[in-house]
Formats: sequence, structure tokens, C-alpha cells
Amino acid sequence: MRPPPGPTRPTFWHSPLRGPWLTATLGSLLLPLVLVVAATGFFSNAAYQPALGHNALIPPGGLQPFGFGWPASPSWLYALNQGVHVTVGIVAVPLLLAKLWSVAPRLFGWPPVRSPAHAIERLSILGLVGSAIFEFATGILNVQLYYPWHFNFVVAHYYGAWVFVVALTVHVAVKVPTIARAWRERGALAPLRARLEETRPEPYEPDGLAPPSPAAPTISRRGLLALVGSASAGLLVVTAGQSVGGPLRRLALLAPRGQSIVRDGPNGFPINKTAATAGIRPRDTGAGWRLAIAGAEERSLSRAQLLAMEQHEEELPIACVEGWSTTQRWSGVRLRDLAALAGVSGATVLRVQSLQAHGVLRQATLGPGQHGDERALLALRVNGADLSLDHGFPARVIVPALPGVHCTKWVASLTWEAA
Amino acid sequence: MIATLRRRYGASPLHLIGHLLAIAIAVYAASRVLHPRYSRGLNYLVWLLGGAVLHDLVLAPALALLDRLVRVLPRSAVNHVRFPAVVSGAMLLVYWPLILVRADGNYVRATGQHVEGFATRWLLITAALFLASAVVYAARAGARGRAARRPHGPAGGSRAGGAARDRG
Repeated sequence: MRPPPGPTRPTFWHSPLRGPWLTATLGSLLLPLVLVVAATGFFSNAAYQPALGHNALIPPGGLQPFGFGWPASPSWLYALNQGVHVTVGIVAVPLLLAKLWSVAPRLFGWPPVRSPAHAIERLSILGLVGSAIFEFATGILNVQLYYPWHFNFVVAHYYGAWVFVVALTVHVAVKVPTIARAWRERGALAPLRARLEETRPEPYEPDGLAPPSPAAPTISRRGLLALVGSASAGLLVVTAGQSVGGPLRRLALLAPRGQSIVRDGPNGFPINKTAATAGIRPRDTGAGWRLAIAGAEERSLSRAQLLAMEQHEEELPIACVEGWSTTQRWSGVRLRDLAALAGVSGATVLRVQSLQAHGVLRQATLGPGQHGDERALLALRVNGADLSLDHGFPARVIVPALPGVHCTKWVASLTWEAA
Repeated sequence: MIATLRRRYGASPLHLIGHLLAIAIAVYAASRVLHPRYSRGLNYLVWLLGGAVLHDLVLAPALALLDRLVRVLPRSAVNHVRFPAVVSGAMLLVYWPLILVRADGNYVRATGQHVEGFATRWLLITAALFLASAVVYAARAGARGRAARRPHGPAGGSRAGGAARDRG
């Protein structure tokens, strides 16, 4: 059956670079990047410790096998995890598009279905491409706080990742022989040595990727990889500074928490939610504010009483799930000192509640290794000044390697419960 | 029996089992999101599969068309347009919600600041990329010109050298 005119005909396609070698190479470059992004994504879910208290943002059960206790050391673990998740994801976008471009003739292959095996493979490719674009699109829009959809981002992004990972697994399993053959026949790196005038098309095969009537090349294969690499490098430069922080933040010209977010002063670092958004009223945080602590006994402490306790200073990062992070010099009371004051002994989980009246993240539950770490603070000051209201005045939690949204601001109460 | 299955199905039984398993897990994963508490109607499925359709039928053809327009240029200039355009285009593709200020309200609620300056910075980056590429092009064109005027220039220097070597 002759295919209808248009992209279903092999003669529609002319690029002299398309072929099994190019697709194998682009796919092999993309694969480690998406594996890193997927792994760090699953780690992030584990870092929220969904088994504790009301931490779970995804309903319990159902494909959540990574429930290990998230460590508190090294303190930059979550900052690294999320910086890598978001930055590598963004940097992989040009490579993903190049990979999809390289297989474009396949998408329109004719006849649409040649056998049951072919049909099931095409269905899984639809799932793979759909979920890949879905994961990249929703993640990238989420870090820019843009939600043009009607579903819960966290739940959809998490289960979208499962669709992607299983579809990718069968795709790689099916394609390993094709990749091996392409590299055996053409050499893994040999085509990269060809300059433009030496660039030859890969041989045409029916139902293959190489075109039957290739045009004269306008770019070499290594030139194409340089083009994709330049786009990735450009994205890296305008993005990474929001995670690295320091002077590099000013280089993050387009990242959501990059260049534009920096302010002078001890409280000039980025935030994730303003006090106004959280509904924190000045009278809640004034002289009448008391911290309620409850363990074996219950106590109520004013800010002056907290400041009269032994103060500790720690340089700790605060890292957002959206990928940005910032390391600051926090000072306040150790959570373990407060636990002793409340008569707490043995392994406990710590439930932290905020003055914030609404929202799932107004409370967080921390595991024993987290609130028991000697660097874990109820911070009262930062960089030698009182916390600003937007940074959680009168007091906030800061714990090494804990996701930023679990470092609760405007703390109202600390409750230790048996683990 | 396996031979019959292989002939009728078109691949090995392992291929079938692997795909059925993957599809089962994927359908289960997607169904977890379709709970009315987490998504409205079929919006999630439209997004999950719609991106592939949008890419194949809109984005990819649009990019191919743009590249065809670039190929109208003299061959030595084509990649001097492609490079800055692709680098700048990738930034626009990723950061258009900030560049086009799509979610200022959410940004204010999260950061206490308005979305400001992203469009200006992207335009400046784009201008700088094209300017740098133009400077490199002019330098290479000058080198080609000098090579062509020299009576004993390097072999092939007038056409295949310089810009044409790697990128042209």
C-alpha cells in the first residue's frame, strides 16, 4: 500500500544527518541525564519523609517504594539533589528536542501498524514521548510558578515520572541492539571526526531513519552536537546560579530565583512564601507571641526567654524543591535543647506547627535523625540580625538537608511524639 | 508454539511480556492521578499525551520551517544564524512564562517581588549572541578574502576553509 503524500513518504525527509548512528548517539547522551533527573525526583519524595505525620503530599501507597529515612548529613544534600534535578532537567531540553527531531520520520511511518508487536511498541512510544514532554513541561512551568492546568502538580508529576520510567525501560531494552549495530557499523565516535565536506549520509534502509534522497549537508554531525551543546550550555549559565548561590546567583539571568531576586542586607536572600500570603498578622508575631513546646511536659516560651537560652550559630543551606537554594548563617536554640526542656527522651518524631492557618505545608513532621541533629535549630536570627517577617519571625526551623518547605516559618508549637 | 506466537505477534514473547507489564504499570500510575481529588476530568490525560501531539504537529514542523528559512542564506552564513537562534530559542522555550510574565500574581505571593526584567535580559542575551556570531562571521569572511587574494594561499582556503570547515 503506497503511503499518502506528505511525511508518511520516506522521500518527504531530506536531512543528511538523520540515521541510526545519530539517534543512537543523541539517545545515549540523553539517557544518563534523564536517569539523573528521575532518580533525584524520587529522592526528593523520600526527603519529605511521607510516612511521618501529615508529610505525604501524594496519597499513601501506590508505587512509592523509596521510603527510607532521609539523612541530615551532609547538610547540602537536599540543595544538591534539587539543584541537580531542576538544572539537569532544564539543560537536557535541547537534547530531548534533538533526539525527537532525529526520529521524526518514524512518527509518521507507513503503514501505521505492521504487526501486533509494532502496534504495542508504538503505543509505548506514545507513552514515552508524551510522559517525557509532560514531565519536562510541568516541571519547568512549576519552577516558574505557572500552573495552566487542572490537576495537582505534585501527584501528577510523580506518577508521570512512573509512566516515563517504565516506558523508557522497555524502549531502551528494545533499542540496545539497534544502538550496538549502529556503533558497530559506523564506529561509536568515527562520524564525529568528519568535517562538513566529509559528512556523508547514513545508508538508506526501508523503514529506517536515514532518508532515501538526502540533501547536501549544511552542518557536520559534530557541528549538530555542538549546536545542541551550546543551547544546553546557555541554559546552564542562565540557570545554575540560583542553586549555587553566592556571586553566581547574579549570573542566573533567567532563573526564577536568580539575578532578579537578590536584595541587600542580612535578610536579602530569597523566600518561598511571603508572610502576607501565609496570612500572618503583625499581632500574631508581636510581644504576645509564645512558643508552645510539648513532650513529657508542656511549656510556653516567649522570644526573650528563647534568646536567653544558649544560642548556637550554624551555616546551613535552605533548599527549595523548585531547585534554588541559599546558604546563610542562622542562630537560635538547638531543637535538642528544647526537647530536653520539654522532658523528651528516647526516639521521637517532632511535629512543627506554624502560625499559618491554612495550607498543607503549615506543619511538618521531622524524623529522629533530623530534629536530633546538633545543627538543627529553632532559628531566631540570621546573619546577625533578627529574622525578617518574610523569613519567619519570630522563629523558624532550620535543619540540615531538610526540604525548604519543611523548615517551618512562624513556628507556633513544637510537639515531640513517640516514633 | 513460541514460533507461532513470534510469527503472529511479530516479536519475541519477552517483547510482549515486557510491554504489557510496562503498559499495566503506566496505566495504574496514570489512574492514581485521575482521582477527582487530584485532577479535574480528563485534563491530566490531555496533558500527558497532548504534549507529544503538540510537539509532532506544531513545534517540530514550525522549527523545521524556521530552519528552511535560514537555509535560504548563503551557505557560509547559515550556521552563524543557527547558533545564536538555537541558544536564544532554547532559553525562550524554557523560560517563556517568566519572559512573557504569565504568573506575576503567584510570583508576588511567593517572592514578594514582581516579575521584572526577564524579557529585557532575554533580549539582551539574544542581541549579544547574534552580535558575537556576526563578529566571528565577519572575521572568518575577512580571513577567506585575504586567503583568496594571496596567490599561494592554503589549498582550498577560499571555499572550504574558515567558517565552512566546521560549521558552514
